Amino acid sequence: MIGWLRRIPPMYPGEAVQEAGRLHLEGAQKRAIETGRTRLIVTAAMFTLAFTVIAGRMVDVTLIKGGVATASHRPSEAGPAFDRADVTDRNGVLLATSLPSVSLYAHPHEILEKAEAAQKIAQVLPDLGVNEVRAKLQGDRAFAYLRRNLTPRQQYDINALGIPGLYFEKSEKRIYPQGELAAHVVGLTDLDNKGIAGIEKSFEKELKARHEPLRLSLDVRVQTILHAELARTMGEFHAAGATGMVMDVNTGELLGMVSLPDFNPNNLATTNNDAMFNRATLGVYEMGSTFKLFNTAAALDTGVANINSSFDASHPIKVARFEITDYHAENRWLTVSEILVHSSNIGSARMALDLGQERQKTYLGRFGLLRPAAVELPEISTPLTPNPWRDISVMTVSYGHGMAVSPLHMMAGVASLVNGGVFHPATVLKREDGDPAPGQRVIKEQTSRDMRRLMRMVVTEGTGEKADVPGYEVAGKTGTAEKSASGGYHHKSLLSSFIATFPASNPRYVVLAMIDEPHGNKESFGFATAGWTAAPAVGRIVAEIGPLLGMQPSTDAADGGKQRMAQTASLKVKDAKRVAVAEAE
Amino acid sequence: MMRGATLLWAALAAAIGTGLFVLKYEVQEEEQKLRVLRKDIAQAQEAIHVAKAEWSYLNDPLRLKDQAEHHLGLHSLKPGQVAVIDQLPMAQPVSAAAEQPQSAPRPGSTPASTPAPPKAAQMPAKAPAPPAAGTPAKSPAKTPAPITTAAVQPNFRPPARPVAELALPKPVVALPPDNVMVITSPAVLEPEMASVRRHP
Repeated sequence: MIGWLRRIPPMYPGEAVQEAGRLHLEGAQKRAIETGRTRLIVTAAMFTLAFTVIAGRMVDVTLIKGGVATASHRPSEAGPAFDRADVTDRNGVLLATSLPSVSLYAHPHEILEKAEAAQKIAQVLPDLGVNEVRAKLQGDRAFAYLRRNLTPRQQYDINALGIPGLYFEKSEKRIYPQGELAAHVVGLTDLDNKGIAGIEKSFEKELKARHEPLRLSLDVRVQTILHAELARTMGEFHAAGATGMVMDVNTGELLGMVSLPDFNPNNLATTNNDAMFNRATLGVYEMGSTFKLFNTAAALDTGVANINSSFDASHPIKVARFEITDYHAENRWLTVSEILVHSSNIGSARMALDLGQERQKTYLGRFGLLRPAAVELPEISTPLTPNPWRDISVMTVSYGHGMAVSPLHMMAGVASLVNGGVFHPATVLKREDGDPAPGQRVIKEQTSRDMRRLMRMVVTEGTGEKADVPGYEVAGKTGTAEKSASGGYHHKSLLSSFIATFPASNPRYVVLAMIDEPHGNKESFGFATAGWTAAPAVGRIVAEIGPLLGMQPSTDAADGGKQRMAQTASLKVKDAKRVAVAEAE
Repeated sequence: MMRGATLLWAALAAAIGTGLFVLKYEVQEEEQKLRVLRKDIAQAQEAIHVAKAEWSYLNDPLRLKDQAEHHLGLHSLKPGQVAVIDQLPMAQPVSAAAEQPQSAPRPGSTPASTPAPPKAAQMPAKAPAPPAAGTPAKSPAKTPAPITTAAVQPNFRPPARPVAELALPKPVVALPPDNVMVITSPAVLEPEMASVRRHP
């Protein structure tokens, strides 16, 4: 091509003759021809360059970049893209998801017969008043939302009206297939799909950024059992509220968290502030005797007491205008185990005095009771601690008064007492199998063993008898606190709680039930204390979730298994007899 | 010479032009097909998504429990219904008797303690027992842990009933000679379960 260009065409008549005849021009004429030739070459080179650039660019645009552009239109393989990722429980059951929906809006100035249009729209959507629609259409605005989240049927009907100026907008609606079941944990979103409570709020950014569902540690089955048993207990004792949780002691994962009354996030019109309140994490309560566990653990761990030490509980302690008395008064010296089994306030107070203010605070801090609960929910509370921390506070705190924490604090703290002494912060997110749970040693392993034994005694021979489940070695502690009101305590309004772990020999789960203001009934002989209200509820919960979570009931001779085996034998003999009879007939 | 080259280039240009023209329309057609397919995929994905939500809604554990109780007569699993093979009276003839020092003495006259046929009949019955740490490794019917989405899932396994009976060893009677399992109605079984739990 270049060679061809170099063969310059004749420029003027006679040039060919000159070439052929090898005539050589000299001087000015030759210079002119040379200049013209050079210019032509330069111009041709520039054009060649320009076309090369254009060709290269075309290859770039059509072949190299074009391929990428096509790929970006590909639909994602995992499913349709929604603005917010799903939330599921630990087994993948949907707790929150987005569904496509359609909103109806209008450009009022495009509508010709506004009154008539309003009439027609109101007929299709009866929940919109005619006047409301007309006001929106006749307003000055260029744009008006008429209704969000139409059903497909409504969309079809509106479309069939054929009114110009009405438009549909694709949007999405957040729905909660499990309804109120996990409402307080999952939370909810507002009209614009912005999280305003629970996980929806605390993981707002993550949910919008990710495509994979967010997997919580909750188990809907455990959640259902917890919910049903708490609701039943609440009904039986005409309580004002209840809360319950189940936690894995080795990872801090919460398998269940229920706060009653609760709300249905799909239908907010029927809810109220009380129902929206998460008692498990946001409410702080003086927990009562369950705090004796922390007091005892601290005393045992520091060596202030050993499991056989005894403390003088023979008469009430009087400090200033306070008097510390026992509900189940024994009026004698009590050992550490007896203090827990009989839930002695006096004994606990004496133990706390020996422990001292500094060490009490250190240990409460270690159990996570002096800082906001570490959980991924926005609704968490800071414990209320005595200020100043006087001697009287040391004594009252030992049995759970004068200091208020949330049930979640209680839960995480007790889990660290029984799991061998390691504190794991509570979490509502599922830990991957094999992921090490962050933890911090807070008490010695031996202390933890002692605590399990003591808690088991509370159930076998103390106030928690009704929580026992043969085979699961439930160990726990009751707590009945009087709710504080302005200037004192209400003797009639109680807060009954039971915190348990099972199986005692090698704890896997901690279960807590707290009943707010229960009233005694005939079955409980008028008692509304924890042993009669919360403990049986925990027993029923354990009996149901144990088999569900694949736990083998122990058949040790030491436990209920022995009785079952004995029963097995007698039944067998009876069966044998029956068969013999049948054969004889 | 000049004319030949020009003609060649002209022909080449015309051929490429025609080829491109045809290719362009072919590509447009293919793209149209692709668009339709993608739209279908997106719609199907959306439908699946909606169906998943509905599936989750219908799998409300409480509802499943009601349905199971109403239609199938199945109830929630009780601690007494979880057992390992060594606890089963039927397993004794096969597994060494020495492994169960805690088990009660077996009445020798029990007719159903004949080893082979009842054992075979019981094998599936062991399946629903969630494998615990203590499950003997030799058990052939070891099943994965019953991690399922439904609260009452364990109840959906048909063999759940035989285990229930074995845990409270009663089934010995329920075996007629021809190896047909007689499964007691849960309604009959229930009061006994309850009584065992209440008065241990």
